Amino acid sequence: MASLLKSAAYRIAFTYAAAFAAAILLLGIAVYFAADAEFRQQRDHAIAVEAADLSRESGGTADIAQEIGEREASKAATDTFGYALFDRSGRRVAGSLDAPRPPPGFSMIVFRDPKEGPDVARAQAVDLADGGRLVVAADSEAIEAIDRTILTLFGVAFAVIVVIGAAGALMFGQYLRRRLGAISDTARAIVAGNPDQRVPVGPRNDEFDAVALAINAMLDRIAGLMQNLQQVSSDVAHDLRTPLVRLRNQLDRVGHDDGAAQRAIELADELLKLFGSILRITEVEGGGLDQGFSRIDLSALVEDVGEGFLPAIHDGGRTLDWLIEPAIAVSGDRQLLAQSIANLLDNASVHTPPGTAIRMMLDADDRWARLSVADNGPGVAPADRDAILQRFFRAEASRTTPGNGLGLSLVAAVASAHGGEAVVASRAPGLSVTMVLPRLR
Amino acid sequence: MRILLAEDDAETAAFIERGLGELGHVVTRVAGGENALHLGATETFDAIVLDRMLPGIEGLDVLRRLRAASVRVPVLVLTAKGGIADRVAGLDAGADDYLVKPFALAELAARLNALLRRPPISDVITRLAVGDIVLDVLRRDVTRGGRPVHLQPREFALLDLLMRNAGRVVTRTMFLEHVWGFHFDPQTNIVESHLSRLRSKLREGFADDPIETIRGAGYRMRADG
Repeated sequence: MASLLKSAAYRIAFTYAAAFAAAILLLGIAVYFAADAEFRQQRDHAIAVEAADLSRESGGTADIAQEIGEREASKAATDTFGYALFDRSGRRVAGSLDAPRPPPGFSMIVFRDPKEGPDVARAQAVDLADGGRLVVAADSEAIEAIDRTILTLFGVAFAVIVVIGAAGALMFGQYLRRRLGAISDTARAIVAGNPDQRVPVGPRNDEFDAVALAINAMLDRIAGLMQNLQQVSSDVAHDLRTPLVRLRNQLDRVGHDDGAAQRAIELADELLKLFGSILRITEVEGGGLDQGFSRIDLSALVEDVGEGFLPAIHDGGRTLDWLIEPAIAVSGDRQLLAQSIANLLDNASVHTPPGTAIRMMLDADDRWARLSVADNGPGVAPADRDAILQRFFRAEASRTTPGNGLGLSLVAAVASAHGGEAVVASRAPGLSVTMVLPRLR
Repeated sequence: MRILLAEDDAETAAFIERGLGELGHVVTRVAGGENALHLGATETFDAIVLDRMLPGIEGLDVLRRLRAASVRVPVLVLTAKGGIADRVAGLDAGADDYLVKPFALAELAARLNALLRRPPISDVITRLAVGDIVLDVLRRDVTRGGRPVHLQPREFALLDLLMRNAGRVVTRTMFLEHVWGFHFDPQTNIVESHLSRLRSKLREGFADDPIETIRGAGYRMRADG
């Protein structure tokens, strides 16, 4: 029992069962006393009516004695009442109620039942005008029987409630323990090194299922962050080797080649920039940025960035035009959105030959804003289409172009941090990358 | 110029001190937040270079307390944190500029120069004149030698920044921050393309180019135009 009470589930269930039992108990006691008092009052009333009825007989003691005789002769009356008529001297002159003369008014008397021996009854003694005393009595047995019935009924009800309550408490407690146990089992399994474990979700969609879903969502998020961290670590380890080897080689040439030191500094700067990009993506993917989000007029921002890029893209021998639906707003971070647009334009101009036409489109439906940058350049191999959003991915064809393979990863991370996504589509010819962002109304 | 440098990493501090010393600045170096606060509040400097991560009192706290004590000296905050929220926190604390480590010394020097010559806020400049180039901020027009030069809005903003810093280097990242509002460096040469357009428009009909390219640092408007 002590161990059962240590469980909050059992404690709650038992407390409820006990509260119900106590309520039944209280109700029983109240009903018992109220019914008892009511029955006694009714009995006294019936006695008083009977006594008054008899005492009103006009002919005095003799008439009353006769009437008593008549009533006792009829079987129905004697089952209800017993009568005794005493004369002035205290001698019983009529009625079969075998009891000593009681004082006037209501009292409990002991009479001798011809069949059962001495018994208790309620009696009213009324003094008559001629000095006699009329006694009308009613047996208490009927009321006691009703009282016993009430007590028995409530006693059984109490016992049933206690049994049902205890059984219910045990079942409810066990149910709670089982549902909560599923959650703690999952947690223990994860602690024990099984991170893919998830809390089972029932089909009823109740509170426990809601908690389970929330916990599973949290675990998925943590798993995503863990995976991200592992990915970053391995990316860094693999992809920084090449530039570091090139830096080392340049440093080796310092003192032999003119400008080797300058090239080494440039290589180091490139590396530092690469680290900056990795940190930025990690920060964006880490989440929590939405606290700093504000309403951004995406239409204005896209046009602004486009205008900022226009001369440089023209200088590179490519064309840039745009089709921007006005007054499309999103909730976001201006720097990140601007950098994403810039990265899309960088991507479209760095990986395409001169003469390429780049087109920026911004449109929206009720829910989503869609910003796409498309070109009619060589595009990417279908197999690489989704991979170009991944960190450090560089298609075979772009091994020799500048860049670190992080530009579109940032676009994807920014889109996801804003509650949207980045989509890559092949055109014929060319490539289009679209940022889909939740529209702000 | 007297510059207070609060930087706890001895190697970085020595590198900055040597670099700024070569440019003719007098650098007072402290390593802790308490010293930075004490010297910043009691002595007169032309600018303070403040690292965010200082032992003792944290860099931004030093800055907040200095500003609370009505110290109006321009403050440039250095940080290893390039996070999105960090820059805002730095500027909110009262920084005049914010530079993310690692940085080139030329970048720090250019930004310090820009800060040192920054006019008081009350003194709103509506007309800039360098040599024969005149830029009217309110009417948004530019003339060279009395002849109008038609500039696009960004070219105008580039010229404005160069003329306010005439004689001093303006770096690529300063252009990106002030003209584009970008706190990142795109791969595409957007600064160079705009500058080359601006330069060719300013040179139209003139023999000389008032803007010089300073290799490895940035661009400079010749003080004499």
